[in-house]
Amino acid sequence: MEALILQLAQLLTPIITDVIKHYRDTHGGALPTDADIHAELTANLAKYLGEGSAWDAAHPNA
Amino acid sequence: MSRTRRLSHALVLVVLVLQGCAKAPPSLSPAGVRDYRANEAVLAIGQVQTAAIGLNGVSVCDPAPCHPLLSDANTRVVVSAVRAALLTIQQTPAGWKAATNTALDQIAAQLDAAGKGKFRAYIEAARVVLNAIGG
Repeated sequence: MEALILQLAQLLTPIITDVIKHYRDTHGGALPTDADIHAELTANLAKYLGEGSAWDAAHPNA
Repeated sequence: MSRTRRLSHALVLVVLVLQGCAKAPPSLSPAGVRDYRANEAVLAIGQVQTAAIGLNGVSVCDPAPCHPLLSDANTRVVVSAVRAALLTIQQTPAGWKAATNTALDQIAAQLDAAGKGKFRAYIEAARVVLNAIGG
């Protein structure tokens, strides 16, 4: 139980910081443009809205 | 060390790392910086939802009968508040701060006593992360 809680706490680890690092790693060290960041924002909104909708669908009587 | 203390230490570590990494890249225009900050807020509030759903998926049997670590009712509170914040940010990225603070306030107010005990650390960690984003 304790390990599971700690593991879940680590979900809050910095995925945030990976946005720039991942971009630089895959684009020869270049920094992201406005369009790149906007695409990232759009994708993450869809990801988390989808996650919530999937949970709702699996728990209709909650 | 107690579970609560270990959890708190883990969260403090996460928060410290995040606080040191919250600067937008210099390549962005003001609109890009706005989206960058909104994206960070989406990630922070989204991880709160992911944590709630994860805790809901953990079954505990002490005390019997077996039940989710975070109840369905409490998980729904989190999912609903996060959804509202995400939809607001989708419409108005510049409103990320008000949207996410409102979501966290709603979650803190609407969780039952058991939910507050299990989820308080996540809410507080998310608040610190969001305050570190700036803007």
